Amino acid sequence: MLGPQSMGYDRSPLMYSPEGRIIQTEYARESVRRGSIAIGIKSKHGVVLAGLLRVVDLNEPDLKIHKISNTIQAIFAGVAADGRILISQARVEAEIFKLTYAVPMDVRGLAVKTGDYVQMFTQQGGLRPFGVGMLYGGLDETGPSLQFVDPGGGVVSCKAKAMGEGDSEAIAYLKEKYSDELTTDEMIKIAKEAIHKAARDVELTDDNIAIEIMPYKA
Amino acid sequence: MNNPNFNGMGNNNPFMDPKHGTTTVAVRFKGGTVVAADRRATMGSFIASKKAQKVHELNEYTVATIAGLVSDAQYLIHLTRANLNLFDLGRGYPPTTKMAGNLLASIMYGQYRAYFPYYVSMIVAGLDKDGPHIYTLDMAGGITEEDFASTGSGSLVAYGVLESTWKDGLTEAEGLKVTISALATAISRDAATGDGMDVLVVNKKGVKRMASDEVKGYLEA
Repeated sequence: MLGPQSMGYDRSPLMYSPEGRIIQTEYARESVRRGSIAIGIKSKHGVVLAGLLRVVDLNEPDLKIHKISNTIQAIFAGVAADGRILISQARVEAEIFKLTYAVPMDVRGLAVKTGDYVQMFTQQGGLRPFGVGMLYGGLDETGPSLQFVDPGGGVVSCKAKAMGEGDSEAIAYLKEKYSDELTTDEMIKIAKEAIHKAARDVELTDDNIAIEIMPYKA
Repeated sequence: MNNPNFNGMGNNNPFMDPKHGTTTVAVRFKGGTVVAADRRATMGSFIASKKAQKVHELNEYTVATIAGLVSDAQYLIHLTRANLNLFDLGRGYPPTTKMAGNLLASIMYGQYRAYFPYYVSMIVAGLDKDGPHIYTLDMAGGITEEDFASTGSGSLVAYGVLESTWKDGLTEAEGLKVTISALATAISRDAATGDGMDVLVVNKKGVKRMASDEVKGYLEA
C-alpha cells in the first residue's frame, strides 16, 4: 500500500489526501516549526511578545516584533519573506479599519482578516500556502488579546502561545507557569525562560532577544 | 459643510433637497439619548405620506434618524444595520455609537467623492460603554458629535427650543420633555413637518419606542 505522499496528494493544497488531510498546508506548518522561536503571553495585566533573533554573521539583527498599529504588535515564525507580506497587509487593514470606524482596530478583527487572506492560499490554484505562523498581541475593547493565525487560515484566541523551533518545550513550560494574574514583569521572565527552554544551545543576550510589553490598565 | 441644512451640489430639484419636509430631534440625557421625528413625507407641497418612518433602530443600543431622499436614507439604514450586525457576529460584542456613526460617514464620504452623494442628512444616537452619544452627519460625509441635534426643514424651529431648554445632566423624563416640545414646536410652525411623532429612548435597557399615550402625556405636561 502506498502512503498518501507517494500517491502525490502532498503536491497541491487543492487536493485532499484519502484520509481528508491537506498535506501541503501541513508542510507549511512544518516551515513554521523551523522558524526561530516566538512567544506570546497575556494576562489581565497585559500582553507580552518575545522572540529569538537569528543573528547571521555580519548582518544587523532583523526585527522580530513588528508594530501594526498603536495598540497592536505582531510576531511571526517561519518564512521571513511570507511574514513580511502579512505584516504590511495587516498594517494596511488596521489603517482601513481606523479610517472607517474612527477607533483603533481590535486584535481579533485583524487576526480574522489575516486568516481570511491566508486561507485563500489553501484553496486557490497556483498558490503556495503562507509558511508563517502569525501572533498578534494587543489591547482593545475586550482587554488584552493574543491571537494566533495558522498557515491554513485558522484563528485561535490564546492565553499563551509558542511557535517555532523548540515550541513543544516552550509550550510545556508556559503551561506549567501560566496564570491569569501574571504581572508584566513575571510574563517577561517566563517568556525569556521559555525561549531558553526552546533554544538551549543559544546564549541569550540583549542583542538576540526581542521583547514587547503592552501593559493593560482596566 | 457640516450644516444639517446643507443643500449643496447645486441641485434645485425639490425632491432631492435634503432639508425638505422633515424634522428630527435627538437629545442626550444623563443615562442615554432620546430621538424623535415627525411622520410627514412631502413632495413639494404634496403630503406623500402621513406615516413615514424616520427613526430607525440600527441595533440594540443605536438608532438613526433620516432626512432627505427617502430611498437613499433607507438604503443607508439597511447597509449600516447589516454592517453593524456583521461586526457583532464576528466579535461577539457590538460596535460603539462612534463606530456606527463613522462607518456611515465613511460610506457617505465615498459616495460624495464619486460625484453622486446620498441626499440625506442623518443623526446617529445611542448608548455604549463610554456613555450616551449623538452624531450628526451631512451628505458630504462630515460627522460631528453634539449634545443635541436636529435635522430637516423644521430644524431651525426645533433648535430654538433646544438651545433654550437643553442643559447638561438632564434626567430621562426631562430629556423626553425637551425633545418632544422641540418637535411639537417644529410641527406647529413648519408646514412640511407634521402628522404626529415617533419617539425612541435609548437607555441601559436598550431601545424603547414610546407609546403615543406616553408622548401625549409629555406634550400636555
